[in-house]
Amino acid sequence: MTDAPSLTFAFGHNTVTFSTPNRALCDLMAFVFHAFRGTDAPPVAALRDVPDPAQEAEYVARMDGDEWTFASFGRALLALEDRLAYRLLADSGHLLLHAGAVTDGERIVLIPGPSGAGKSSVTLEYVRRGFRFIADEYVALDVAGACLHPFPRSAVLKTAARDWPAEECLVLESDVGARSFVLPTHRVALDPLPIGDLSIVFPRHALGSQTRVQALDAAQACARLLPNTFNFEDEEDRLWPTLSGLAVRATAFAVDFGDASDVPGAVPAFPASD
Amino acid sequence: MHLDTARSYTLLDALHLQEDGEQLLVLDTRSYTVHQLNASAALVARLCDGNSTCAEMVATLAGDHGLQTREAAEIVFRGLSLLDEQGLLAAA
Repeated sequence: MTDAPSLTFAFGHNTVTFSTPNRALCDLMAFVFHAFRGTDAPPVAALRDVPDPAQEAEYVARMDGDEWTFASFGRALLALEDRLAYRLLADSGHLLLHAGAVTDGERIVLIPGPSGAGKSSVTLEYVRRGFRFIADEYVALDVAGACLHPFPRSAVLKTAARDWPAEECLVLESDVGARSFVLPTHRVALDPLPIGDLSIVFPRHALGSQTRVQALDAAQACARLLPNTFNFEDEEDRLWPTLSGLAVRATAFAVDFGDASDVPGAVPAFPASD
Repeated sequence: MHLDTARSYTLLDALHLQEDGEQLLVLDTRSYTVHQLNASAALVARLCDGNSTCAEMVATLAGDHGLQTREAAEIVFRGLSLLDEQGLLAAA
């Protein structure tokens, strides 16, 4: 690790130093987490020559005092993105949501849900409708609820999911959990996004279930946001106004669907994207 | 809980409130349940300060909103009953 390129990422008062002797891995982490490298960080070139995620090779990486070795590029990417995001998010002073997010420049659509709920599929559908990808896994909100901080980690979709538009992404087949990597090839608005118009779509993907869209009132939206927070229970007093404020100001929907192919007909359209 | 007009009531400490127009969102942190109080229940919840008796709450509501005492009393007792049914109320 002596000549390993090193990157420093920061969010709130958290700082993480990352290094790896593998240039491709380093470039990809710099690309995905570009927003957290500071304004003086050199720009990262568009993604190209990304290794086959499934090809077996040794990838070594270090994050602060911890060092890991992975057996493939794909496994390294999956693990390192999660670990870096967690270290940046933990105790950052923000409300942390397990949610995807997209924007059309005026409206932000939050897509909260646990793993497997269909966040990525719904996020993809809005990208197809012209929204810009912000995140499909984590978002952080400042306590005033005024800004959303995107965490644009590489989207990971099951191989059965609908394909992302080729002009938007680089899709890499992988043997990691029978999933494909979907890497957004353009950097989206990585600065904090002011929240103006806000909608929340709660997906629920359950095999065999009928497609159903239900408008939610503020209490229902609030109740569905709660289990998708990472840090609310530790900081109820401070974060309740942020969480409930989101629910009060948003138009919210629950969307049930039985198959990813049902998503286009299920997710609601919003005025700004019509 | 038997509602006593001579007593004063307060919302439980375990609750967090959020204004939603005339309505009120209430998070009960004991069960992580979110309640939405309608406008009249929200009015009554805001009057549950732990000091005002029911009679004083009725008088305040009637004075603030130009209501007849009977109308205000109905709103207060309906609101207190609702808060009590949802387990949000404590006698002060």
